[in-house]
Amino acid sequence: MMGGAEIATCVDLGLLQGFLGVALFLTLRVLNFTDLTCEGSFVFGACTASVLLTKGYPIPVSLAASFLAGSVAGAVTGVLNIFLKVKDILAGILVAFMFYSINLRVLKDAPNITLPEGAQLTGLYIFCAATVLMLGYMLRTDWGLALRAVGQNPQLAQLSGISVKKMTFLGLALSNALIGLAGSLTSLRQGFCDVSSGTGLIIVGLASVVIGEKIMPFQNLFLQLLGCFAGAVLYRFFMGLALELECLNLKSSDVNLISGLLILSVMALRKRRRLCCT
Amino acid sequence: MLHLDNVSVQFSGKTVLDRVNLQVPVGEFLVVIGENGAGKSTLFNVISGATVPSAGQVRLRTKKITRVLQDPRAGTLENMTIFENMAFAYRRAQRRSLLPCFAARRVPLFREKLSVLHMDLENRLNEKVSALSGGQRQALSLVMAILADYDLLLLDEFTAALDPQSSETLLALTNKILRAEQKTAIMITHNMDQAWKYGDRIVILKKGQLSDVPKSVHLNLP
Repeated sequence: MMGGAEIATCVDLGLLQGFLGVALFLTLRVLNFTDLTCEGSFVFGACTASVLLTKGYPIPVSLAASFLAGSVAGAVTGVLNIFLKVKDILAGILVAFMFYSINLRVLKDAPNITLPEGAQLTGLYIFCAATVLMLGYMLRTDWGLALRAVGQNPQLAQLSGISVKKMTFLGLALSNALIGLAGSLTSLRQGFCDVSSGTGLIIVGLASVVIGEKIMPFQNLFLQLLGCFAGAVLYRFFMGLALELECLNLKSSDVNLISGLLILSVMALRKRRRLCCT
Repeated sequence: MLHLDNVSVQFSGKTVLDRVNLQVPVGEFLVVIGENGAGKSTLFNVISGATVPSAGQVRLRTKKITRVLQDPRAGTLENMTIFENMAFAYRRAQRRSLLPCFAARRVPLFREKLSVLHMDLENRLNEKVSALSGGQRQALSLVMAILADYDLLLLDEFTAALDPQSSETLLALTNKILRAEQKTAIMITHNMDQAWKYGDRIVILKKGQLSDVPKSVHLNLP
């Protein structure tokens, strides 16, 4: 069974991945935009912060830079979708693909770098609480209502004088800024930055959203955002537990299979409940 | 209020509106009729500024134009509450700030505006719009359209998706509000009875051209 240290690791990693969940909630559920940029923006944020930390910049400056770096990746996806009319999924895939090369350049062609001794993650819970409170508040403002309207009914939003293009652009930038921040926080937690650390992150984010919606099926926006963090932590627990259980005879290489099956199970549960209600 | 001078619209070489002239004075309830594909919605798009005419001039005395769409689902945000829908409409055509939309001071205003519908929506502010019937939703979209200040109301077959009774109720209510507030409105409809009953004037759009319909004429439109 899992020990205290392993449980603490699960909580920490879960909370870090919760940022991904919140960001995907913003694009998938609020903006109704299937954004797959996260594998690029996560690493771009991590690389930017790590390089700045190795150059001696303080942690807050590096985190702010990773936030901005993530927003740049999101903005590029926005430009591709809005101005070049590239489909949302394809725009995200293309940006993530292109940013792999950019990330390598940021790391000066090194596949990974180790962070300096003093660079450690502190105040993770404060970051999580601040994200939920700020984003929850923002979505309940007139501006946030407009952002939600763009996702739900773009035609009505346009008729009401809202620039759908501008709001989509800003929503993507904000979402990926959070992902960039998640990347830098994860690097700080692990003490290194790896250019391939973004692989499969979309699934982790999706799992956080889906599990969060299952365990916290509320209409309140704050609780929905909190649900993304709770979903991410629960996902880490499930994964850890599955690999710990000797009777299942699973190996660490089975992680992708377990992740997929876990998401499918939760989605099937959601569907079944909906069928029962109708 | 509105002047269209020789307005023409062409899409891919096809003329949809052909040198249309129209004057709508303040306070008039104008009804536009015409066959499917005659260009009625294009006319609305030109008036609202969504479509730029290929030729001619649109002169409007106001920029405060609002529109109710045909589909009840298109005029509301169905996954949000009635309050959120009202809060959204309250800021139409205004800068959206980072101030809370759930301000308690807005509740009495929203209740007052919804109470004119006599549908008890004012007491269901926290219910989702998806729980409302088609008629209730369309009534809500009408209130949303006229919540913020407006001078010209465009009604695009807004009762077409409703049953005859709901359609009549909603149109009577719309007429009452327009007369009370002395606002200008243009309505597209296929229902000739309603056109005669509520319209001050009726115009027909045929082959891209607009002409007045005398009150004595009765038309059967598809």
